[in-house]
Amino acid sequence: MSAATHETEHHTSLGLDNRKLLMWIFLASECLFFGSLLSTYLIFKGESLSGPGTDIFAFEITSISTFVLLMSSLSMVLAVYGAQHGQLGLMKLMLLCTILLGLVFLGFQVYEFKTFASEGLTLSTNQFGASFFVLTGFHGCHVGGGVIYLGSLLIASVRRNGIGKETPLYIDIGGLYWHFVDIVWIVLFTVVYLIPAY
Amino acid sequence: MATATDGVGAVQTEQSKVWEWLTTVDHKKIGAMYGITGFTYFLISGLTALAIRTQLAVPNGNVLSAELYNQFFTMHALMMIFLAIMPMGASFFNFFIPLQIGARDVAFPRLNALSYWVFLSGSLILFSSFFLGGAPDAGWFAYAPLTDSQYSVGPGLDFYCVGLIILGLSSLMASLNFAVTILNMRAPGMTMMRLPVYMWMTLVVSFLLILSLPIVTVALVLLYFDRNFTTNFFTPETGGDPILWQHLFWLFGHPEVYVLILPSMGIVSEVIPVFSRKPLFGYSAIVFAGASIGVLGFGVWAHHMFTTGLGTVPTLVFTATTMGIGVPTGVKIFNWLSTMYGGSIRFTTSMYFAVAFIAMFTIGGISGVMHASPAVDSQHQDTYFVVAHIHYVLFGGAIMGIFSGIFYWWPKMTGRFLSETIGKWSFWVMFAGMNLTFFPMHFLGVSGMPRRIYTYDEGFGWDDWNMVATIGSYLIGVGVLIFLVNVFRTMRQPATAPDNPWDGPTLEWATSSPPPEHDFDVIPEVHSSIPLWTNREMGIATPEAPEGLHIHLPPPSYMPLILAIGIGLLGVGLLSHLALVGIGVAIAIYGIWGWAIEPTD
Amino acid sequence: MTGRSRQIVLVVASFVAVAFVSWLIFIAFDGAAIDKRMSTLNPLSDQTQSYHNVYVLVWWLSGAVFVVIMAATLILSLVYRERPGVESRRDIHGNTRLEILWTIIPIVILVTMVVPTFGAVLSVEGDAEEGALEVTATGHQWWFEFTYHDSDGNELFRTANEMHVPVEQAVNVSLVSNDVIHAFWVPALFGKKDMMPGHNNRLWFKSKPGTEGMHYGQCVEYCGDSHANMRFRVFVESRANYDAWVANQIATAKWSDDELVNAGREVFVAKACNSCHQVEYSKSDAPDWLVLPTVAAIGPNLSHLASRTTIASALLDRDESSLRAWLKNPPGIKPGSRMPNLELTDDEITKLIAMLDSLE
Repeated sequence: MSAATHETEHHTSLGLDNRKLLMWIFLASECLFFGSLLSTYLIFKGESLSGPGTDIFAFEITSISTFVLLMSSLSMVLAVYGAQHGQLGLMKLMLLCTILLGLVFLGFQVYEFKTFASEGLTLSTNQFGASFFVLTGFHGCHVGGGVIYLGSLLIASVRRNGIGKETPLYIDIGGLYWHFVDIVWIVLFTVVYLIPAY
Repeated sequence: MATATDGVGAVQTEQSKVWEWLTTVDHKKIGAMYGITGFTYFLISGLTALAIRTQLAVPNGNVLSAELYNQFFTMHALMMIFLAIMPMGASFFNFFIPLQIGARDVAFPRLNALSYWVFLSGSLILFSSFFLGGAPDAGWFAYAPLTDSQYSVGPGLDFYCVGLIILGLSSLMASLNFAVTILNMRAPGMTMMRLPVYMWMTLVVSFLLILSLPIVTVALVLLYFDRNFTTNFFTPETGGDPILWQHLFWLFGHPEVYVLILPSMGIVSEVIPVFSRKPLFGYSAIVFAGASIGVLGFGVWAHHMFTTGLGTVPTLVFTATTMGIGVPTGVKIFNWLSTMYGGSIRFTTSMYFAVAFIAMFTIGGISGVMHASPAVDSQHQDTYFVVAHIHYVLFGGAIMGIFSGIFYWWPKMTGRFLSETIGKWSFWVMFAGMNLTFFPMHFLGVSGMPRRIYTYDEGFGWDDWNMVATIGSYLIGVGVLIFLVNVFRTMRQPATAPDNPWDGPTLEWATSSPPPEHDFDVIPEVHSSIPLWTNREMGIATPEAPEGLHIHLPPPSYMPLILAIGIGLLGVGLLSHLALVGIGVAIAIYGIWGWAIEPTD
Repeated sequence: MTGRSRQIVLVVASFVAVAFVSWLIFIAFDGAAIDKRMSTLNPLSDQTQSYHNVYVLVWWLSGAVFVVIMAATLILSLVYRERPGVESRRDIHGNTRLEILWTIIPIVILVTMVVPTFGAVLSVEGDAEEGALEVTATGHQWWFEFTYHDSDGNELFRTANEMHVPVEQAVNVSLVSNDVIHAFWVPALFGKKDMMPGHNNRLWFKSKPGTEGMHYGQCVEYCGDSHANMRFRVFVESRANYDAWVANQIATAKWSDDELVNAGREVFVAKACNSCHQVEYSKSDAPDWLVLPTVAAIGPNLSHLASRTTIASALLDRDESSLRAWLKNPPGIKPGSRMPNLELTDDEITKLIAMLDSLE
């Protein structure tokens, strides 16, 4: 923390805490990151010379994992609520739920990747394989990073002194990140999985 | 006012000077490290330039082999852009953002330190390529499919990918930090339209990087995958497209050139009013022009691709947008000149560099507008005409702006003055050298000399101007040497500079030279974009510091260093043994954990 | 000298200085391109003429802006230099009317450049005229290959380093790359266009009357080690000469029974030159000549090498000493060259040169 944010209620020009502003602006750059990956995927749509295409998708499974991730955003909202209303027990429980749901989502991703590989779709198979795995792979890494991030918050919050009086802020910022990762998945799911099917 | 007890260049009595610098989170020290590192790379890259010019002095030269030449021109650009100009810019950002907005540090001091150490890591990785199998040699723009592993067989391009990704990370962290700081930590009374122009330019640059770095990161990741994991994003064999690389690269690359020039435009916007003894003409227009250059800068990228067969419609659209971006640029030139009108101009060395900036950047801007037309570009593209253009805007513009800032802010940063006499000598020698080197390149371009060629034949009529350009380049070298002499002589003097030797209007001049570690004893009231002049006119005095003033500062930390080492090892691992990636990650996790739990008060 | 007359003197002197420098620059620009092999200011086709007209307009407008800004910078620096007793105008913060004016004037200047640009680009980038000659130019690392087609698109012959075209004839060049991005450029005849792997770029041009002669070209997209050495020539010829050239290229390689040429052929086969280079003798001349694979050759087709003026991607003239130097050590002349150093003896080289010289 800097000298300027020494007191929790320190004056800021925009009325937002520095750390929250940081997360918002960081998410703006993440939009460009995923935008570039998604554009690459779309540019190569239909350009693969051989190998499996979107027919390899198993929508039922991916719909479940999407639902799981959506539910994790719900639990995250509840965790933030708990933190903001002093209900630390609720907060910790919901953080744990979010983490578990996130891990379930990742499990589904791993399962899907392995299934595709056994069905003949890998990074080097064709343009679809390359751009699909890079796009969803990086998203998965972001979910994984989020799991570690929230996990650290949870671990810190169960220690003797907890996170301290800025708990609502920290959980809120964590929530921002988590919701962003979820929104990216909604976009990905729609553009990559849903639209080609219908 | 507070006495100068801390700050860069002052005598320290700490036990371990080295440890102090390794763990500092003080923006002024971090700024100094950026500046020294950046200037060192500037000198090294200058040597590559001299080697290139020596090779091209005569036709069929044999000073550099083709292989070495191709590495040199690639690394010259990479080093100048990423290891010299950007870090020197970051140096001033670091030192002066808190001072100009009336804060006492940036929003995230440890993140600030991390940015520097990650920059150092990335720069060493990139630079070490010279000695570890060959530097990248496909140009700084690294067009596919030449960069694919089948055509670029050595590890050079892998160093390129990993090095630039890490350097991009550093710039991103710094930009996030600066954006939050400028938006959120301004002194009371400093509305956005009272920000110094230099701060506005810094803010625009920060957003340019925040939005463009992710795009090039994706490009570099895809290239790394193509080279190492048998994907074919950029190679046509299985349906990939080399043009995709160009779009992704230039979507970053064009905003990047505004990142290089806007800080210098900001510096010049500070320097010219001070030495003309007049407020900046058209403050709002300059701010809006700078912001619109930032926004429009994302809409012109394909003018680098006019000859790639884009298609007539896209070509013409980008013609219009590229011409369009000339308008706000012109507005700035006129506003700077109008600031000089009616002034009482003091020609210090800083002012020389600033006025030269106006003229040299205009020349570069003019040649740029010329090949904004694809009709002209069909003959100029990939010739020395473009080399002339880029060096007028980058050397005549960005570098001269930086030198102007160095002379202007040297007393504030170090408490000493650079010699004006030696300074003016270095200016004139550099100015003459620069024009002698780069103006003839316009002529070489119209007589058809292509770029990126390690040699040329006699009989094409390129001999004479090449020789002139080479002589000019050595003159630049002499000018830079004279500047170095100036620096070394000045640092032996005692630090006796007053708070505001040039009568500047912005807040950094309201504290000692150099500033104390806590920057300000008392932050002045802000009623305009030129607060010190306005306060003087309105008779507002800054109160004395209260007795027993204690300003809490963030403690030093070695976690940024640890984390940067971890990231660096990760990168090195990607280039050598995967085991190192694991070790790097482990060290990075330790750094992050230590960062999160260490006390900050 | 009073303040006023001092100002006037400085203004006039500044303009004179700037005008003088501008005049020097003008001369240098012109001089830079006169009689230069790769001059961009010598348009010899309708297309380069069209682009050149835009260039001239842009150049003069740019020159005017240059003079104004340089003069203004110099004048303001001199006139407003600090002088004892003269205060600065601290009251000036802006002038809306002026600022609007100098936003509008640049817009007008830029529009003046953009409009003719649009016209020129649309005409040059459009489809080739009816009846255009069809040639495919293929970029290799580091040489240019030319494949000529008949009006049905069938391949007539292949050559390298030089392209011949009839004067005042539209020529449609399809641009192909064998490996990395190259660019195709003859400043006198056409603006550059990339040879993009995986893409079908093209350009077309029509030479003006009286432009017969040899015109220089070079690759202008960095393509690796020997990018600097990747050159070519375009020969604009009368219809009759062009037809004769084509007829010769289409014909099979000339057979010579000379003893030295025979010995050269033996070396050609013994050193496996034919694994990269085609020499298309007719079956009736050379029934025993090794049948070459029909895949695209790796190196230039040598069937009519002796009809060409250059070798080694137009880097060297085709003469005895250059041929000798090239055959002795190709990578020494062209770093990275795909043609390796075959460790030929001087005697083997003499024989090979005899054979190559016979391939008219």
